[in-house]
Amino acid sequence: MSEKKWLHEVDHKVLSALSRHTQAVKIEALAAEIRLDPARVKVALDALGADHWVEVTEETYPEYRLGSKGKSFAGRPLPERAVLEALAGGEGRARIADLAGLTGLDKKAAGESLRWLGEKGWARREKDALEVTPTGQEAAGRPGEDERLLEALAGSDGRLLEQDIQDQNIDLEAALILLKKRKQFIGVKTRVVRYAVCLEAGRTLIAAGVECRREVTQLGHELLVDGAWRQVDLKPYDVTLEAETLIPGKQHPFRRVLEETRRVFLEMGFTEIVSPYCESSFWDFDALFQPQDHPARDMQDTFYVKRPAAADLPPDAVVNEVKATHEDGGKTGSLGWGYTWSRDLASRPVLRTHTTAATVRALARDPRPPRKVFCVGPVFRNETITYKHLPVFHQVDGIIIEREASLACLLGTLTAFYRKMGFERFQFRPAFFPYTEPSLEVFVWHEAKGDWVEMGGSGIFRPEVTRPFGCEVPVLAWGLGLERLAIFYHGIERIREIYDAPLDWLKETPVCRL
Amino acid sequence: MPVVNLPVHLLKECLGHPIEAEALVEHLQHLGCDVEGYEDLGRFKCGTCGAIHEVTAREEAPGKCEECGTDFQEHPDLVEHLDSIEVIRMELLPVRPDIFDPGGLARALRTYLEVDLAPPAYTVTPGDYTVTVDPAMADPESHRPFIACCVVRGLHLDDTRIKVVMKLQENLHWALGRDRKFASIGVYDLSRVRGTALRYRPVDPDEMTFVPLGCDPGGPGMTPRQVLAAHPKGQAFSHLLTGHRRYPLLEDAEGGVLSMPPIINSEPTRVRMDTTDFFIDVTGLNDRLVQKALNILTTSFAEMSPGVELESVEIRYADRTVTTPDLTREEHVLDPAAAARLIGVDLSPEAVETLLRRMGHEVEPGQKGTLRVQAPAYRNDLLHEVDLVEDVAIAYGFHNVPPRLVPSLTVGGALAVEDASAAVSRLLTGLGFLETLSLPVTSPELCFDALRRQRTEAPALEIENPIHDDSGVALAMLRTDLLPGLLQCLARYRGAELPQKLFEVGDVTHLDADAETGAREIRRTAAVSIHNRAGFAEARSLAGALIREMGWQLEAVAGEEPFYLPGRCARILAVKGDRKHDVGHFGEVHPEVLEHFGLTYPVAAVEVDVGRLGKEAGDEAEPGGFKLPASNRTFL
Repeated sequence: MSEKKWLHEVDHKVLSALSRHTQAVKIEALAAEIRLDPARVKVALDALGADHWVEVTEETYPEYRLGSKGKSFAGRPLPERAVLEALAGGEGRARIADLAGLTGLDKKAAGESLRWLGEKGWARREKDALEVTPTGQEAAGRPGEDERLLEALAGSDGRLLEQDIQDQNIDLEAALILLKKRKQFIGVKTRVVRYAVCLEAGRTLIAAGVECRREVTQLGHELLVDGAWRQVDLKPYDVTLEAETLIPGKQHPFRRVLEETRRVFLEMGFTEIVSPYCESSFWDFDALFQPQDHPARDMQDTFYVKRPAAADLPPDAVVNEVKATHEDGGKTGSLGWGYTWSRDLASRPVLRTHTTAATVRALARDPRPPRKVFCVGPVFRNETITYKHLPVFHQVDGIIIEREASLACLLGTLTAFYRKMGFERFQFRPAFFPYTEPSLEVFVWHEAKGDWVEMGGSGIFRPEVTRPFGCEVPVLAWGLGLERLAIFYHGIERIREIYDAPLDWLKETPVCRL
Repeated sequence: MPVVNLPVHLLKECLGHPIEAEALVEHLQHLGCDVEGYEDLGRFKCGTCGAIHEVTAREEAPGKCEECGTDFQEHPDLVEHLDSIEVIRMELLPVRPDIFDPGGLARALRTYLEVDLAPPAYTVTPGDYTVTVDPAMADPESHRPFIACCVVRGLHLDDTRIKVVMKLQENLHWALGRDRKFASIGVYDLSRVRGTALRYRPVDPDEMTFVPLGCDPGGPGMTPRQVLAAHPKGQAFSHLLTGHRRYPLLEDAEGGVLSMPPIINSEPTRVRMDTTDFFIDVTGLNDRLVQKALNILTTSFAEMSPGVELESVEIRYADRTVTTPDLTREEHVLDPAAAARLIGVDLSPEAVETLLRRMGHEVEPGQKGTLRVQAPAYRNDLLHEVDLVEDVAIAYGFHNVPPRLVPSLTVGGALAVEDASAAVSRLLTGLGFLETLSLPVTSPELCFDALRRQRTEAPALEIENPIHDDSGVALAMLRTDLLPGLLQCLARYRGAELPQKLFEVGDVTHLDADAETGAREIRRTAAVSIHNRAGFAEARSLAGALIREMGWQLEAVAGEEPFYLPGRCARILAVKGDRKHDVGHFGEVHPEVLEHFGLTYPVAAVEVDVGRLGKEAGDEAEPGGFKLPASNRTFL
């Protein structure tokens, strides 16, 4: 038994009241006595019971309840009673046809009364008339057991326990025989009744004058300002309950993928660069040794720009190197593509088809090793809009300009990137791109699909790309799709959902995925 | 990429060596092939023309012959069912047309797997046939100047091989010929070619007639003009002769037509089931591609049918005579030490030599430790020494290269504008705003009309070949502002709980005559708040917070943006010391704009140029002495 110094306000009140009873008390009766809600008293008794100051016992009783029809007779007599009183107070007989008029009953009720007058033996039919019997005369002015039960029920909200009924000296058995014959007059249910009794320890506690404290839900300024919180009881809560859902302001889930990508390359010592969305064909294609008749340059793959109509090209010295490389290899030791290169085609602006346009610009700007740059941004392809395809997607392109760079270093860099992005299994397979040699594609294992998923392309820039810009050392390069990472992280099936994001998805996607 | 079905039994027969199914897939992947897997193909032959049709288990048999148009539903008796065959399905590797067919692929595997390291060799015997090329073939009005030919004898084509040959021809047209433009192939029954002196010349569209493939051999024939207008192949490929006033024609010594390249062959020279001797031509615009296509086709024939004899044909141009096919290997010089360095693996010259042999090259010692590499004449992807380095790397296996990092330390750095964007993003999320993303491609309808703006107000970048959104609106421009995208989001989230507070940070594109490409990006942020009490005061507070937290002071002056209510719109001047920039606007969105987006609650909005609020720095923050030009917008 605990050394209790104080009790909650309500617990104190309940225990005090209960200690004044020597016998077990019904909880409702106790609640009525101290003018508290029975449910609240029950909670207090449970708490007091846990400390063994009180004991709560349960008993089950049949409870009688008024049916819908029974309720309709609350405060008014049954039809046979109405007829009996009307006749007994008069001549003791009347024509059946006149009953309704005499009693004020409607015709249906008047007709119904006949059955019960006969059943109870109050009246007898003689042809078209009705005559009160001696039993009837005796019953006049004296309600039957059924009527008393109805009245008692009506007086206690339509429900009574067997015990309460017997307490009122109603012959329950007799009443039920009659009432059960009438439809929807009375029903019975099992009802649990709880009794509380004060145990000896509880009496001792109260007798010892245990302190009573006010119970408080919200700890507020008033309680804190003068230390009053010390005199109150701060009610413990059910800590397992839910509270209101809070949605913080957040970054878009895909933005977080882009940010994480940037962070990883910054961590690896890369410098961030940008390039214009509106790019000359020169930087998007020609500088990357993509022949001017290459299918990737077709209208069906690339967005061409109507306005602005033409882009400036770099100084002639640079342009001529690129031109010569395309035509016959120039100084690069290559065979070239063997066609006549057009300056006009190179000036045509396009929406950049890859962020490699940014890295090759960076290479041209400063080809001196060692250097690492990267670019994260949108690229544009002329794709019909479907759930899987959009005309815009994001890439990270990077290059490493380094004398000692090799295919092994390229694999190492890509491995480091994908490890940091949370992947464990990847593959590098040979591939073909016009501007890298060797070239490879990166595949990542997709557990749910049970298959390898291609993430992007990579390779070592061809001498046809690097030498026109005066770069004589290997340049490792890659262009990796980023929407695919979002597919992995956020289980997006439809790329479109990144841009047509449902509000709930924005709200519910956790900020942290690791 | 097109997918090719390679009959497994033929591949194994050509390889002459047993190979496990799974191991084969793995080897092909290591060679760079994208393998889809194995499959059984049902096959049937057209009783009219002998064309073989292949169907996968998922496909239905075609109702008509794809070659001659015979209706199989009407004439089920003309369908001859053949045994199904197992194929391996893989995507074509466009850069290696020499491994498009079982013969070529088996050749590559034979050396790669060291079944036989001897370099593939083919004998071409001098033949009697000549083709005289009319110099007018080089004229602009009839331009298709190059031709290469070969006579193939003793080639026995069974049902499987005939299908393979037709597919190879089709795939070479795709990969090398760019759909017949640069190179197109013709295969003829040699016995129907009269005489040995052929002519390749341009003809007037109405000069003569011939019977094109698929037409009645006894009929009157068609003029070249009629072929282009009326024949199905003519209609399909007539664009290749657009701008030509005269059309190419290949004819025999007696004026019999073999073909009208690159459109159609003649019916009389059609290849038949019992044809064993063939005449082959490739015509086109690029001599190298024309010759490569012929080399690939003829050597693949030789691989598939070892008894085949290849006979050369003399091509007589006005200024020179060449003999085709020219299967002389091309010589490259490779420094094995440089190759090993570029791959990043320690390889001796001998090891490099073996790896090269495994890729089908012949190797001899060169000067100063170099290797003289004789590359096969059917390889079309060797432009430079690095292409041989890749061959060495592939033979070594990318999967065997141990990954490592570059040795140099470099110091990285983020762009100033990204730092500023991150600050803005933290600020707005701290204020309870959710970030959204919109596409940078958009329409003038959304960007201008919906916002009550004249399309001329902010000249936008215009796309020449736009795509259309779901409602058929052309996405013909790059966005000039972020606000329209945010309002579109609010429209999509109609009915969801209020208030809604959204923001976006992103680039918008403006025309700029001073920019190198004529347009430039501006980093913006925009934020909107929608609820029943949203209004100018909230927009003012939000703009104030943005400007203040970025280290500036806000000075609001009356503005006149058509998408805001008149008198409830302000321009944002950011002030710091003696600097003052106009960086954006805020206000209460005009009810007409709200109506356009179907919004029934007021919206407070702000849009600000983030770049101008951030650090005023150059493009690349490469610290540590690697000083670079300040601007990222201009080149050199």
